[in-house]
Amino acid sequence: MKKLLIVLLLLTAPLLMIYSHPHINIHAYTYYYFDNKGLIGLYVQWIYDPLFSSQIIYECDTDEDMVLSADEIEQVRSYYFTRLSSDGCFTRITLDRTDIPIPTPLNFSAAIDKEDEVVIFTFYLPLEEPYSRGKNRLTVAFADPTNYTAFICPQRAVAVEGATHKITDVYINRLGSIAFTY
Amino acid sequence: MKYAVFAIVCIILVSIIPVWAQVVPSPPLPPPPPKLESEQGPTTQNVTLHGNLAATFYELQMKGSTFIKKQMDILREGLDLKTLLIITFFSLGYGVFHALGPGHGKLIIMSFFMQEGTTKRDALSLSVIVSIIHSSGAILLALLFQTILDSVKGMQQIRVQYGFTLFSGILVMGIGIFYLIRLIREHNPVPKVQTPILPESSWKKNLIIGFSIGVVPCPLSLTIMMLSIVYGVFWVGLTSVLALTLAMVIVLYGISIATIKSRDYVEQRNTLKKSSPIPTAISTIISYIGTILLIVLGFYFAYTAGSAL
Repeated sequence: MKKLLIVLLLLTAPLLMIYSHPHINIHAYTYYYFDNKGLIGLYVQWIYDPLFSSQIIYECDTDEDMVLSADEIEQVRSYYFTRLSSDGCFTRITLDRTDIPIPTPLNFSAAIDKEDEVVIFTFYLPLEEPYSRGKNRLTVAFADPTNYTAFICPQRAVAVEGATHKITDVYINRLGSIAFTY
Repeated sequence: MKYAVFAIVCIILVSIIPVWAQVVPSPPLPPPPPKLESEQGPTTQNVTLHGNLAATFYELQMKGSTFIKKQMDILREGLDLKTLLIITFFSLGYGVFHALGPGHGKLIIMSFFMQEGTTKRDALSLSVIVSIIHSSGAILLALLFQTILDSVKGMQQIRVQYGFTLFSGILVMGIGIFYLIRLIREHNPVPKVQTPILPESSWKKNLIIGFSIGVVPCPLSLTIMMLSIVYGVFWVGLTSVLALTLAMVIVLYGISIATIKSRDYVEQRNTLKKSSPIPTAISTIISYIGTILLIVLGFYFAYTAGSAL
């Protein structure tokens, strides 16, 4: 009976791998801005994997100079970013476990890193989250619900701009999320 | 008169100032940070780094696909037999690794082979059918995206693939429902049902289920094919995709055989202990689990892809 249960377990174990596998990989970096009142926004930087980057470069770097002009950036936005931004940029932000609505991203830009031949997206998410009494636990997570795109957080610390913050602890999950208390 | 005009202008200007002051100008955006690097950032924070098996797997996958891309960059400059062999054999090994990861219809195939009556010949035919349809769909789609569908760009191309996933999910769900109805009809609680649910193995018979699973074009093969067309090295891309297809056949066949053997083990116990009703029940339950899993998975894939469309 014990063996039987093991076999059954083995047969049903793959349920854990129910999700499809990603085909786009993004290294996501975040840069947090604070002022005297609290969190005012974050800059996000996505670095696409070289294989998918080659597709973006082929479609949008029309003059093939490996530099994205203003028109080409607009093309990148139109082909690749508009849809994502309307869906919340694969981003989920929570403050003390309460979801913060994802604002419309500003200052979108795209560039090609010639050395690594990768495409980099940057955008700013303006926020207005004042400091509250007690702990402020902020979590920023990137995830594609369809799992077509995988996010990896290579950061080893939280990058912050602003004098009034005081970060007490940081938890970085390489699978796309950063949480810290300030 | 001159003084009066001057006084009026001054009064107007002075009165404008408070009005102007009340209009709060939008705060300027903070300057963009310098290019962020993985090793950058203050280290005085109390940081807990959580490594993750999935993240490591994804990074390894990314390194593999990057390696293929770099080999294609070399072959773009001119055909080189050594590099062609490297890309072929690497694609084969990488394909096995890639196919062992989540996805690729492994769970659906396992659910299918949990049913009674499926054989090792079914395992071979289904593995080949799924892999060939999965890859050939990608090749065809790459050709279409570069020709008559060249207006479909960027995220629209990914939406096309979601469309295929939705279609696949509906088909798998439909097949699951069909098998479930058949199972319920053929189920006989008195002794053990000896009649197999499916007739003897045939390629034709497995074509429908194989098509349902494999109809989603392989995104990795799609990207490789598109890149190879752009680079003007179509045959290199095709060789790489063929190696990936072979790898997928190997993985799917291995998983199918493992499932059949596990199922047979349970059935063997059933035969040995006929007096006990538990193994009989377990054998039937496994068939039901497999069938219900097909429906659940089909629904899950259809729902996820439908939401993303």
